[in-house]
Amino acid sequence: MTHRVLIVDDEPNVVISLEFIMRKSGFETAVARNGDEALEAVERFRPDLVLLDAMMPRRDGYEVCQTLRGSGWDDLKIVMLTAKGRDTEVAKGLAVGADSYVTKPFSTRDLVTLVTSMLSGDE
Amino acid sequence: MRSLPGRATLAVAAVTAYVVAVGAGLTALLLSGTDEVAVGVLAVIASVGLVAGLTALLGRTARTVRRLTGDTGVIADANISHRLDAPTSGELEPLAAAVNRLAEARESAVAGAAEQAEAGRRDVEAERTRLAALMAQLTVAVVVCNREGRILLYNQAARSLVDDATLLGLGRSVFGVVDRGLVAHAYDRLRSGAEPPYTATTLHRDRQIRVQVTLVREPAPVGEEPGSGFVLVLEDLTRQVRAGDRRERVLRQLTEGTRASLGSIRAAAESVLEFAESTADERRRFLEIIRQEADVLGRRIEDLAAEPAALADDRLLTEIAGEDVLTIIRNELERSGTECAQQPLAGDLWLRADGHAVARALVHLATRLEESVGAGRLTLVLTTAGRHGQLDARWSGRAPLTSVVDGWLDAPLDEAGSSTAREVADRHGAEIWCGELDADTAYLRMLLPLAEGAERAAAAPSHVETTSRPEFYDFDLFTARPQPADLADQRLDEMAFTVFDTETTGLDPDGGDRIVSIGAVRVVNGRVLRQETFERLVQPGRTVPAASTVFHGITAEMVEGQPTIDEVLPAFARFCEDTVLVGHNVSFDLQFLKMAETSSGIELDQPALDTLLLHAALHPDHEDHTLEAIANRLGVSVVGRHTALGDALVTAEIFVGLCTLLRRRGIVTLGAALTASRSTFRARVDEKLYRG
Repeated sequence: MTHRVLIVDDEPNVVISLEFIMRKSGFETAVARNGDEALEAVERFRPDLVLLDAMMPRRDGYEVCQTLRGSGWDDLKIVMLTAKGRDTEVAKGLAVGADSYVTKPFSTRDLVTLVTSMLSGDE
Repeated sequence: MRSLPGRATLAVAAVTAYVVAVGAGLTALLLSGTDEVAVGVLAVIASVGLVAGLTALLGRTARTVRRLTGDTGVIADANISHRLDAPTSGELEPLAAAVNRLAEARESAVAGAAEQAEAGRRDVEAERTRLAALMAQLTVAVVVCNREGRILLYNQAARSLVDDATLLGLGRSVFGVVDRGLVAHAYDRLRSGAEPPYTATTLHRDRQIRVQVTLVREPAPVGEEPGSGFVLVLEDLTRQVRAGDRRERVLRQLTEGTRASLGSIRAAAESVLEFAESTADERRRFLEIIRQEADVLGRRIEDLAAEPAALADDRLLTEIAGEDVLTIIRNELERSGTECAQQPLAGDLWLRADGHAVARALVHLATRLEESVGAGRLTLVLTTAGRHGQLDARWSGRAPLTSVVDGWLDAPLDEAGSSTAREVADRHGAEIWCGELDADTAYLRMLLPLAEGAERAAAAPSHVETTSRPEFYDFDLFTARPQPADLADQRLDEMAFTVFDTETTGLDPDGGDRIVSIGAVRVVNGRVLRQETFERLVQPGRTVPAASTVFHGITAEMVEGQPTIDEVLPAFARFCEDTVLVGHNVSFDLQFLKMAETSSGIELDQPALDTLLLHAALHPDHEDHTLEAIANRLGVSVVGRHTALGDALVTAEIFVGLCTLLRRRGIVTLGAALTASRSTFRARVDEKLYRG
C-alpha cells in the first residue's frame, strides 16, 4: 500500500523540492498552500502523514494541528516543518499535537528517513 | 547622725550652766550678808559656765553652717541624691529644708531629662535598625560617603559587589572601589545644577559597574558651610554588557557570514545558469558548492538558536522565586476579579523573569479567556519542563484556537497601550499558547526561562540578623571635623584603628618561628566594626610544632596549600591602610611581621599602640596585664580566644574601653597615648617585666 503524504507550505520553492523527493521515495503526495487549504486537503486526500509548515498566512500550522487533533484525526502523523527553532516553539508544536518537529534548513535525506520510519509502524 | 547626741549634750550643758548660774545668783541674794565669799565664788562659777556654754553653742552653729555648705556642694557637683541633715538650731532648719526641696526638684528634673534623652536615643536606635534592615534588603549596592569620600554607610549588596570586601569599610575611602575622577566630575556636574543622579560606568577589576551619584546635603549650624556628602548606587552590569557583546558578535557573524555564503551560492548558481556550454562535471561541482554553503548557513543558524540568550534582551529580567511569581500573579488576578487557586510548588524553582510583566500579561489573557470560553476559576500550576519553567493557568472547559490567542497576544495590555503580551513573551524568549490536557481541562501555558544555578544562590534574600545587627553605618563621620595634618594630634575617638593578632609556630622569630594566622578587626570612631574583619591562615614554610597547636589549634594540614606570608601581607597591608595598628603586646607580633616585610617588600609603616602598655600606664600597680585579666577588669566577654581573629576582637573591645579611661586621664590624642606607652615601656624594661 502506498502511503499518502500531504505537503503544507506557503513557500513554493521548498514545496517543489519536497514534492519531488517524497514522490521519488515512493509516496503519493498532495500539496496545500495555507492552513485552510490544508484542512480541506486532509478531508479530501486523507493522508497518512502531513508535512506541515508552522508559519503560514490564515491559520498557522499550530492551529491546523490543534484543529485536526480536535476533530478526530488522532492517528494522522504530523511533522511540523518550521523556521522557528527556539526550544519553546518546539515545545509549543509538540504540545498542540505534532508528532515530530523539524527545523529548516533540513537535510532531505534525513527527512525521508524520518517520514519512512514514522510510517513503517503503520504497515 | 552621729553628731546629734553631742549637740544635744552641749545644749543641755549650756542650759544647765545657765540655770545653775541663775540659781546661784538668787541664792546669793537670799543669803546676802551671811557668806559673801561663798556667794562671790558661786557667781563667778556661774558666769564662766554661761560663757562657756554660749561659746560652745556658737562654735557648733558655725560648724553646722560649714557642714551644710559642704553637703550642698556635694548635691550641686557630685551626687544629686544626697540630702542635708536637719539641724536642730531653729534658724538653719528651714534653710536646710529649702535646700533639700531644691535638690529634690533638681533631681527629678535631671531624671526627666535623662529619661527623655534615653527615649530619644532609643528612637534613633530604632531608626537606625530600620535603616540597616532596609539597606540589607536592597539588592542594589548603596554606599553613602561624606564629602571627602569616607564611607558612612554601605549595605550587604555593596559588600558582595566588591571583590575584595576589605576595601569597603566605614571610614575608608570609597576611592578604593570607585574612580576618584568619576566622583569628582559627578560632584562638579551636580553642584552646577545637573539633574541627579549623575550616571557613569566604571571598571572594578574585570567587571563593568554602573555608578549613580546623588549629592546629600547635611544641615549645618548657622554661618557654616553645609557639609555635603554623596550617595553611590552601584550595579554590576557585567552580565548585561557581556550579553550585549555576545549579541553584537552573533549579529556580526550572522551578517558577515551570511553575505559570504550567499556570495558563493550566487556565483555558483549564476555560473551554472549563464554558461550553458559547461560540462556535467562542472555543473555538479557548482551545485556541490551551493549545497555546502547552504549547509554552512544552516549550521550558523543552528548555533544561534542553541543560544537563545544571545539574542534575548533580558535586561529587565531578574532571578525570582517561582513562589513569588505565583503570588504576584494571584494577587493581580484577584484584584482584577478573577477567582484563582494555586497548586503547591514541587521543590525549589527559580525563574529569570519580570514577575509583574508576566502577571499583567496573564491578567489580560485571563480576562479574554473568560469572555471567549467562559474560563472562570483558574488554577495556577508551575513546574519545570526541560530548561524552562512551565506556567499553566488551567480551567474546566475547552481551549480557544491558537489564532484567537495570537490575536490577544498582539492587543495592548492596558489603555495606555504601552506593551503587548507578545512583547512580554518575547522579552522572556517565551511562548504562550492554549491547549487541552484532557476533555475537561484546558490550559493557557507560558514557558519561561529558568534562572541559572549560580544566580539563584546569589538572589536568595539575605536574612537580616536582628540579634547582632552588623554595623554598616556611622553617620558621625558625616560631621567629622577635619583631621589635623599631624597624626599625633588626632583624637583617639575620631581615628581608624586596625586591631590585630597573630598566631605563630613559637615565640622566637629569629630562631625560625613563623606566623600561621593573622586576624584583625577595624575600630572606627570608638566602635568595633565586627563585620569588617580580616582572617587568614598562613603557610609558615616550616613544620607546625604540636606544642604551638595546643595554643592556637592550627595544624600542619590546615595551613597546607594556604598562601605564604608574602602573599598575605600585601592583603593585610591593604586592610590596614590609613589606620593605626593596635595589638596586645604588639611588639611581639610586629617582630614577626617585620621579618615578612623584608621578604615581601611590603612595609607597614603606621604607628602601633599596645593595649598591654596602655593598661600598664593606667594601672601601674596592677601586676597582671594579660588579655584575660584586662578583659575581666573591663567587663569584656572573652569568646573565641586563641584564634587570631578571636583575640583581635577581644583586644579591640579592650582598646575601646582603655580609650575611655585614657580620655578621663586627659590622654586624648594619639601622640599622648604613644608618649604614655613609651614611658610605661621604659619603666617596665627597667623592672625587667617586659617580655618583648
